[in-house]
Amino acid sequence: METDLTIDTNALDAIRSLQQPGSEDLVSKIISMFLEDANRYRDEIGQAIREGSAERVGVAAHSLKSCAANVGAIQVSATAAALELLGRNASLEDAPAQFEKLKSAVAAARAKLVNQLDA
Amino acid sequence: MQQRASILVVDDDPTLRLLTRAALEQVGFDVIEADNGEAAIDVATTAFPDMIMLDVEMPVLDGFTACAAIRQHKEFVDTPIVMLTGRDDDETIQQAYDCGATDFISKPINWSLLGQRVRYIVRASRVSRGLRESEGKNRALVRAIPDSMLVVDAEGQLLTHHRGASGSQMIDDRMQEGVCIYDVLPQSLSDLWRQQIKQVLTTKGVELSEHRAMKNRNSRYYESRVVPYTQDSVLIMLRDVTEQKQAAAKVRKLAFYDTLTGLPNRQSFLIQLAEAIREAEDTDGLVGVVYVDLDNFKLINDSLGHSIGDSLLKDIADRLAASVRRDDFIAGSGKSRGLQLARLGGDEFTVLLPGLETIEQADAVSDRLVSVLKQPVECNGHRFVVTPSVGIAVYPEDGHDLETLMKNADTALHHAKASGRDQVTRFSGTMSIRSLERLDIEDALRTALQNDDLELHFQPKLKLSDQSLTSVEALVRWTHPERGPISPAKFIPIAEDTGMIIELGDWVLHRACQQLREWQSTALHDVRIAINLSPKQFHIKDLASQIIRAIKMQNIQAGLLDLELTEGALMSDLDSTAESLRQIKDTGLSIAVDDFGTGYSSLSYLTKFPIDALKIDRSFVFEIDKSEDSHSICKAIVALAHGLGMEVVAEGVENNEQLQLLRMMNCDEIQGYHFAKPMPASSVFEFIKKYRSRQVRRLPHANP
Repeated sequence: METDLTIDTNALDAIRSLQQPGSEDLVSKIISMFLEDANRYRDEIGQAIREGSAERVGVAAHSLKSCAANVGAIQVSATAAALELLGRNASLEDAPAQFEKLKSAVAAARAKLVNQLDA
Repeated sequence: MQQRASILVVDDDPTLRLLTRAALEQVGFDVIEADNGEAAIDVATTAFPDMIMLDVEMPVLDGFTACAAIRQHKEFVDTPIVMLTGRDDDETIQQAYDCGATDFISKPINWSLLGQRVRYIVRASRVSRGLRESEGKNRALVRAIPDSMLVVDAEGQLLTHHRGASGSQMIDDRMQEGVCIYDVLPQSLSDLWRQQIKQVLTTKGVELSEHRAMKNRNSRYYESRVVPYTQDSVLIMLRDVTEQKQAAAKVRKLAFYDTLTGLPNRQSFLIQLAEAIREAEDTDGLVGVVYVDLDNFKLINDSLGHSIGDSLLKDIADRLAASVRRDDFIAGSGKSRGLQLARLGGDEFTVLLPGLETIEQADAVSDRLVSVLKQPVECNGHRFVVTPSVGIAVYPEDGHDLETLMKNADTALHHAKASGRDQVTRFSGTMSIRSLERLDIEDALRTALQNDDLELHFQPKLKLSDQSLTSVEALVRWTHPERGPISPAKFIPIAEDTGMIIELGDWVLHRACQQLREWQSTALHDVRIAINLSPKQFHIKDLASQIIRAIKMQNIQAGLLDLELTEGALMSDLDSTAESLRQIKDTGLSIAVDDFGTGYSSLSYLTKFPIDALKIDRSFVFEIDKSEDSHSICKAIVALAHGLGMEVVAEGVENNEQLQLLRMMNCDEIQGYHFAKPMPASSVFEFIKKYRSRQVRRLPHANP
């Protein structure tokens, strides 16, 4: 059985179940918010790593972890969680490597989610 | 319908807030939001949400700190606060618990379940809040109730208790949670409650009982209710009912007892008598009704005052009660016959004798009452001998019903009084209503003589020869305090019959002499007063010396007093009459024959006795202007009197025709309404003075 860890579609189904008739489409809104915020948090994390600010890495990674989890972007959320931990522990040695993983995960998630938007 | 609950959602992640809102609105909640802990405190304390969902990791102020801060507010003591946490490790959960969180929800949130989850939490919180509120209300209720309450388990152990405001002597300081109530309660109450607790735990019913507790020699009364509380405990409610009991007793006392003497009153006597009659009907028994009345009590009350009268009545009541108690026991058997003493009012008492075996027993009880009452009474420094009159009526002989028995006992009592008081009289059928009225009058007259309720009125006589007014006739008037004026025609014959006329005549004699004395120093010093002597009085041996004594006592001239006697009085014993008249005559009094023409036809007595005047009976005068016969009789009497050297007075002159006819017949004096009616002393004084002053002015024209 193929498991796509990019996006957990169950998460989106769960959100869809909250949809009230006549209201703005919830899934589209959440995806749009993710698409808007994900790059911003990613860039903030990158910059903080370059500047060696562990605290800022932790804060931005925490936000990204949460907002990725909401749309089922498992890879993004897990990688952000790892970065958050690094930031809190103030040990940024592994951070650039994790950041590379994060960038590709974000890209993959965006691609999938944009498709979802079109669907 | 329940108000929509509002939920405060606090998270720095807008996506999460959006989704949470969607999930909660879907199940009918209102949602308010905050994006950090500090904002959460502000929003919570202004919007007062029903529940708060708090993210743990937030900028500015974290969730744990915010939770602890919100819990500090008294409005949020029991508001559910749920932590949203991505880390469900022990440490985080312990932290949530420590800061006062109600529950926690793990992230990622299961959106499809969130709404239902929150509904459960809100409902549970509402239920527990409702319970807490009702508990608070119950506490207030219990505090407000004056009753005392004990919660006791099946073994009698005290689980909890409340001491009511009215204070219960039954719940003292030993009554502490954990004790066995049977160890600290009086034995009798322990036994009762032990049995009642067992009872209500089985039947689930209520057990009521009443108790008395003594404190400082005062009785207090309690009412207890034992009701099931839980499966194996009961609630005992104790109420102080002393005041109710006292009030009820007071009402009963007022309704059925006499306040002065504490004896049963008329009302309870009636009930007892009715009951006794009913029983006697069934058993063919006898019931005695004894009325006791104190002779002359009114006199004591009036002369010495009500407070002495009242204490005398109390003393009498005590004696009667003691006597009745002694009599109440059937010798040997120690059983009460149920003799019942009551005060009917005033100085009237009754003794009810149910279950009499013989009528003589009623007499015996009454005789003992009389002898007990006749012992001298010491009262506020006064010493009295109070004699009672007693009347007895016995069922069924003297009446089959209550009214008849009471009326007949009363009749018998009046006979006892009328027959000279101080005696016991059994009712008899010959005591008729008419004779009863006579007896009443007689009794009242006796009192009137003692109380000086009688009065003398005076009717002027006019001398026709010179129009002068020199003589009046004294007439007794009696005004009864309740019945008003009583006619002499009614009471004089009764006084004659009973012999009281002697006392009455004596009173008149003294009163007339007293009046003459008063007039001596006035313009009326020459006015004579005529008094009537009854036959009985006339035959008293020393009448003459009595008259002399009375005259001397007032130091007046004997010539101012005239006596009037009827023919009957003169004729009963001719020899002694002649002697009496001579003696009287010797003292200087003049004597007139009253009502002349209606009595004896023998006229010879007129020559034998020293008589000064004849008074023509009013019946002839009344018809003098209408009937030839009366006219002739009057004319004959005048001639007869003048022929024998006597004067003639016409009584009952009511009009001018009668006056003119009598004048033409040479009648000497007239008396009657036409000239003047009888009037009290002060009025007759004014009348005579006025008459005489007019007379002086008229004198030149008199006898033209």
